[in-house]
Amino acid sequence: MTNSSIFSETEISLESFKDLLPFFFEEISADFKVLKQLDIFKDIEEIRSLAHKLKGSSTCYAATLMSASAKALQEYVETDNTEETEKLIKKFEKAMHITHDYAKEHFNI
Amino acid sequence: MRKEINVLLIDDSRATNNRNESLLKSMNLFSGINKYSNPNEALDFIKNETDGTDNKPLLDLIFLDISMPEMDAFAFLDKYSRLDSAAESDFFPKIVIVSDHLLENRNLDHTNKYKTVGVVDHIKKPLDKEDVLSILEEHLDES
Repeated sequence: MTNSSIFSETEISLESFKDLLPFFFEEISADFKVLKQLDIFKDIEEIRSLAHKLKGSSTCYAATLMSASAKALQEYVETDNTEETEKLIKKFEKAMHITHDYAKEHFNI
Repeated sequence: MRKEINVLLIDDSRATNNRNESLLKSMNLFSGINKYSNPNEALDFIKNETDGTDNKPLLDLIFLDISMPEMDAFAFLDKYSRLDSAAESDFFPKIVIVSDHLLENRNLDHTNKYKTVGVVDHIKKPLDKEDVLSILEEHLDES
């Protein structure tokens, strides 16, 4: 049983999903590290592109909380509201940690 | 009915490629699954993936991510269309574009010009079994 606000159902078998999750978090963490180092005033396209990638891979892993946060970031980054963009970057980071902690506890990764 | 299907996954996220590979393996319908996160490397792979006699690609199906930082799907298709193997492919491999959102018209007006190189469909992430089966039935005569 999963918490659907963190992970939704997936067609991948549980055993395979457990095997795949560590690299998913490794890639997500690496991409997010790059994103955090970007300049929210100048690197708008790079941030949008990375948020898009984070959203896509989170969606594929049924990581709903992360996917929603990345989607909001991707949509907001182009509005020039840098204060909100900063908030959404922090929100994604929090979602990533919550999801990773949940996965460690429930999937024993 | 085709018994062996070779598929190529192209997505800038290696984690997504891994997940999609796992999904396709579980369907037991694919004899070969290759994956690339770098579209240029995927093009090199396609160039080499011919039978050596009439330049016919040995691939049957490509799932192509629409948005990649190095080269999006359409830039990829422009390069792909210039390959000898694509020009002589007789519409193989079939190419399916994968994106976050489905466009209203599944025939994809903006991809129509790519139909001559084998683009047959457009599906929404995440790749799921129902969509894959539908594509196989519709475009590869497979069930």
